[in-house]
Amino acid sequence: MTDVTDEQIDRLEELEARIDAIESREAIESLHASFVRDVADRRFEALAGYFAPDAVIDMRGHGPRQGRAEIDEHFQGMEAVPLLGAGYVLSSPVVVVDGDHATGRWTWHRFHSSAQVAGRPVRVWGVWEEGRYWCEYVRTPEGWRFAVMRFRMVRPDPDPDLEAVGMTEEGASS
Amino acid sequence: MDVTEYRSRLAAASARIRELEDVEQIRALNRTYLRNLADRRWGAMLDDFTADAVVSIRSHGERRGREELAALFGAMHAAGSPPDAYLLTSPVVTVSGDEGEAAWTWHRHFTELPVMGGAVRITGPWWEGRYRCGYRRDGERWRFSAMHFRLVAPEGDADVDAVLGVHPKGVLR
Repeated sequence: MTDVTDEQIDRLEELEARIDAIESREAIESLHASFVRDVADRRFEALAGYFAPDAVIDMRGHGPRQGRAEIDEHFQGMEAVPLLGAGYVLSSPVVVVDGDHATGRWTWHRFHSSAQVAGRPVRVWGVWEEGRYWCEYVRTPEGWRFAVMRFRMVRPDPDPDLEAVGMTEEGASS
Repeated sequence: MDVTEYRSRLAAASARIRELEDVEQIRALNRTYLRNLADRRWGAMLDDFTADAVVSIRSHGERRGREELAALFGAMHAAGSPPDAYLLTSPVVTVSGDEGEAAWTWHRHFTELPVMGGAVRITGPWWEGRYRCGYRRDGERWRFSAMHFRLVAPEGDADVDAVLGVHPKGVLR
């Protein structure tokens, strides 16, 4: 090969863009999986680091919070909520990457193993909740981070504002 | 763009695709391993490990190499074949050359509880665990070079923090 044609350059750049999109999707799925694992392990002090500096969270009835300081305050507040031995499953990711931005929808389950009876925990099996994450992600100098995180319960008892926040809409299949 | 830069970028693209393929092969390895474990196909699992693999599963102690691992699988096989369900989720896999590592979340849903020498059907009880694994490219495929597994919920194993860096959840009293 002595010269590179315009067609070869176009094909190379297209290939690089497709690789970047796949790598980005992988990085975003790892980001979200690690986030939920840290929630499960109650490492609340680590959670704000998963977000872009100006990120927004909207978690059930807590109202929107913006910026790492407010996000950190929200998650550190979960420390005070007793939750003995719950299990978490994150599944069915649909992540769509568009340059330095991306969207992701996930299904979330929490399995409970205890309940409070007369102020004391008792072992209870079979109780579960299903939720949905609708998120946006942004590429930052530190890697992909959450830009927007919205979370609601959908089953067995959906959060009352599920329809108002648009989370009952049919999701895109790709 | 001159030929040198073109070739360099093409080689870099090829390397990035290979790494993505490696990550996918590692995920497939771990998923197939767990499906074989769920189906109690112990014989098929041994070949998923390198000859010098180090395995530490809960209180079974550290096992090194396929011979010790075969003894461990034999003991697990003798414990029976309960019709339990297994989930393996949230993989976070990284690859560097011929080595890889990953964290996974694991669930087991029980369907039988022992009573008076028999067993009764009951659904609901579950365990949550974590895998921290090492992998090595071994010839044409990836194999486990290390596997550490501990329960984290509803009651974490006593050494889960020391082994996996996970604080045990609260224990019912």
